[in-house]
Amino acid sequence: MNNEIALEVKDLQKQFPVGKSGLWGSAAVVHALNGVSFKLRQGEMLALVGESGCGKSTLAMTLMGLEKPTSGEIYFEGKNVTHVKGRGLKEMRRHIQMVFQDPYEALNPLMTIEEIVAEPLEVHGLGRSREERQQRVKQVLEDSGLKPAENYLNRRPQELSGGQRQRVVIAGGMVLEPSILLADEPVSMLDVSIRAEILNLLSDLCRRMGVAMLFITHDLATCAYLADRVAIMYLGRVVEIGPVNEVLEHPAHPYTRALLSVIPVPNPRHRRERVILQGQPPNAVELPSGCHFHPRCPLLSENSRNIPSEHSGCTCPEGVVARNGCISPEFERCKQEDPHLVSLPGGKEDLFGLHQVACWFSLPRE
Amino acid sequence: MANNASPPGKNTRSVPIITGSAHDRNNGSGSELVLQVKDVSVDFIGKEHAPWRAVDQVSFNLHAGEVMGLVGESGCGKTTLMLSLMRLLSVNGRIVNGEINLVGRDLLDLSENEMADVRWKNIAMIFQGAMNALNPVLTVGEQIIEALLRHHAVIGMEEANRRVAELFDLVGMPPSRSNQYPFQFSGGMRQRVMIAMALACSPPVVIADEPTTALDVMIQAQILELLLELRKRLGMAVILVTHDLGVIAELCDSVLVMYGGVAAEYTDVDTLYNQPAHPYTQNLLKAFPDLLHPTGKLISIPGYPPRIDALPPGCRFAPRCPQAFERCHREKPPLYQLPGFHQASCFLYSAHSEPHQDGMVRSRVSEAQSDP
Amino acid sequence: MKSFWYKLRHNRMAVIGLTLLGSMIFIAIFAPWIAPYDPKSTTKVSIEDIYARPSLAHLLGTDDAGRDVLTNFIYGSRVSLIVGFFASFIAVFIGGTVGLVSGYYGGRVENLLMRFTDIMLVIPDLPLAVVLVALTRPSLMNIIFVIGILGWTGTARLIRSQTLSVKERMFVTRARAIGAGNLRIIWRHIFPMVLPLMVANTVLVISLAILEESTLSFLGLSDPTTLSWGQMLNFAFTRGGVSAGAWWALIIPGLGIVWVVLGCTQLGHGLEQILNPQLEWHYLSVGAEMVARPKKQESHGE
Repeated sequence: MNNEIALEVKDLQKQFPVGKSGLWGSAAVVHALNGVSFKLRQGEMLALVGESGCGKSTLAMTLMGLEKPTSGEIYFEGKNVTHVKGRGLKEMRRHIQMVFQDPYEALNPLMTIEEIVAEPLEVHGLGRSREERQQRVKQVLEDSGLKPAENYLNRRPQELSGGQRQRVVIAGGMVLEPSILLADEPVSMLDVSIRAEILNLLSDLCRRMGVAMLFITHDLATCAYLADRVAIMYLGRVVEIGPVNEVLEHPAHPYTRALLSVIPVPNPRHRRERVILQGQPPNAVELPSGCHFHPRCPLLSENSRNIPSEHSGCTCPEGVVARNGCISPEFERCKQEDPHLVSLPGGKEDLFGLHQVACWFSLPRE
Repeated sequence: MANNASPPGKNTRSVPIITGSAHDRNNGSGSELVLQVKDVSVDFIGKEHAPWRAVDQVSFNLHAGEVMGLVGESGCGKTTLMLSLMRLLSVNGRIVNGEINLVGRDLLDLSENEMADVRWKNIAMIFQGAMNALNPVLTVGEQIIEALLRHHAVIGMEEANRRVAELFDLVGMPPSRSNQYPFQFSGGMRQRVMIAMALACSPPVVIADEPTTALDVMIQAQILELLLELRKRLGMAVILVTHDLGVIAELCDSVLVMYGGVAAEYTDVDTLYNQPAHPYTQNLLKAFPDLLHPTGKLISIPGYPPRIDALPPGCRFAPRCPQAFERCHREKPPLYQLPGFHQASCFLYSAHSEPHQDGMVRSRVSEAQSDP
Repeated sequence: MKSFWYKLRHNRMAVIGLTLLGSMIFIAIFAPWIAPYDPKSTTKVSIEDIYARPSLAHLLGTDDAGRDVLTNFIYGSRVSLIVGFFASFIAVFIGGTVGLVSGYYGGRVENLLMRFTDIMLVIPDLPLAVVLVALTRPSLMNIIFVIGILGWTGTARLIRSQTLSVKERMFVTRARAIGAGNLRIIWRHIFPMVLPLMVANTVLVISLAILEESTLSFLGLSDPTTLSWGQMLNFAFTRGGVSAGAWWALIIPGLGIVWVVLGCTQLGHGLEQILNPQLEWHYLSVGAEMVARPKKQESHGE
């Protein structure tokens, strides 16, 4: 892992119209992405965690060039690829590839494994002959753990198990030797006992071959094992980002804290205070004013018991401390102003070691 | 509660009920046995092949107020077993062995009409995938009332509507929403509707089949909290079917682990996580990510779960088991009785005895007084 | 997963359809060997030979020109089937293309094509066919062509809706993510998935084409030199067959049309059932049969 930046995303926004506009004025708009920014180093694994509606799928589609952002910029290895079209778009697709969520649907049931994995090569005109392409296909299948590759070339997806199919999907993503792999919930549809081998494979590809990986998931627990950094998304924005151990042990955003507190842990003796947010995430059509999280934020709710009371290490903005105590439940700023990512003090100097939070309260370290 | 006994020497095994830590978490007092499943086997038949065994001699006991977790991966037979309890198998499913004793009656003895009376009133199910289990052209209120009227739980529409409002309140939804259609609800809300529907006739046993699998972590937490709350208030027994070991640890009192149609391990939740006996359970626990102790690599179990049409001849787990020896591939291990409330079907424990052969189900009281 | 051939063998409609259609195709192919007379031979005809009743010499009687009805029937099958097949190929080709393109591209292209389809649907087929055929020289080719270009609308709608659903599947997204162009996606991913349904639809369109051809022939618009079943009906009606009481000249060609159309519709619907999982049906439950335990022993030792 070096410090070369494989992918940079700046203030990405994406809106979708909902319903037809018709003659009577514009339709409602879904604000899928509301300003996403982050950097991804070569050979790094960044996990993107969030629940449904947070925009992670839209982000994946946008990064893959399958959707065009409404505003913002995307840079691959320094090159601005936000508005590429045609040949440029095709060229871009050699650098970023995707691993899909559903191994049962991502493979065309009428094609053989060889055809599926060779298709990217055909599309981009790589390999001078069928034999040459087959060689590459065999190599990438074996790299993905399907040995011996000859046994799989002429099979159809239906003949393989879920784990094997996902390996084919990964092989299909790796065949073009991309510098970035975007894995969208790659194991959520697999049995628990085979998840680990797929995750380990992805981790291997990342470390050994230096492929940068953007790992989208809703499962924070797997991030702990695999990722270098983790970014928490809520309603189209990154609300917290930092090295994975930092974020999981010292979560600074109330949403992250709530998430961590409710994830079931396989230990029956473990007791903890669970912060269960009420209601469901507001729909992305009518965004709340100010901080998008404030309607559900446990810090603002009157029944909240999770208000830290100590002042030491508190990073509340000035003027707040002057009011009753460190954190006031009636704090208006959350309802009016949208917080952006700020770095927490006490982190490493290197950008990638920084732990950043988008919250006016930036909860202190415990 | 004493149950029907069988003559000695008859080859029916039963699970002795052992008290102890299994019921510490359960705050239902006076835990009577509400459901006893004995050696149930389910086959799928077809014209072109020999019957495929989906469930093989599975037994468990469920007491009032107890939450039993049923853990297993795809193809382990857990959903089939649950559908057998409700006698809702598909066309080619056959229950070929065993007894299902629900509050004293063997459900497998009942005629179809009698079973239709029992269904929902004494045992109800919260189905996986709420969107598919709700009728899109009826309002949710109408669907609940359908169940109420069928089982004569209420008399007349006015009482029915009152009960619907009561149920909605119970699951934390505004009663006015009972006039809406399923598509107007979000995933988590639909699941609440399913729960309300299952509780409509106040059954003593509720089966929750992967109730939170498709839901977000936060909604999952809400639903699970709701289930716990309801268990506390209504005292019903719950069978929670899931593949999520974290959920089991948070909610369940006892756990049945199934693999390839057989019961791999059956014990209380503490023992399962701290002293798992069956190699499958041990490896499954290692494969499950633990947020609190993310050390090293995640283990996976090589190979894949057995297919129903290609079951291994001996122990179902032998092909993937790191501790398998020759006998495991040849013979199917019986369920061995380990100390306490703990059973595992693995030859590693062949030194232990098999569960009691006399087929008598002992009551809690007598069990506590005698040696297991 | 049962194989396609297994399902085909066990689907009653498909089997009936295949039998009916297959037998008629057989007759059409082997006409020269089956037919008792040569249709082209000109024989001297006397008044007794016209509308002669069925006899050993003429198993199905004779028609208005003294020709053997059975021979005409057998050779007529060729014309009807040829017109039916070729016209339906044209129709399905046009309809399939329109459906694929409009379903895949969406937007304005879809709008345009679908509105055009609507227009074609609104115009009554038969009068338009009559006009077109009347304007051009009546020949077999023209009839095939006219039926083909008027009969594609149903196929277009069906294929469009199939394309819409296949388009959303994840392997299509994957193909786009790889960088595959639209044409490649349509050809390699969408078309193969849509093809089975197109085949089933073709069979149904064949029956429509045959009916249309028969109608046009009955109205006297087809090539007078080729004797199709519709043509036989036309002659029988317009040349005194009814008053002569020659039921054989009327019923036989009619039966032939019914035979083939029935075969096509049965086969087409059977194929649709097999290929479209939404049309499958099965029993909900078997009730008490579900419990198949061995009987419990009655003796108890309490």
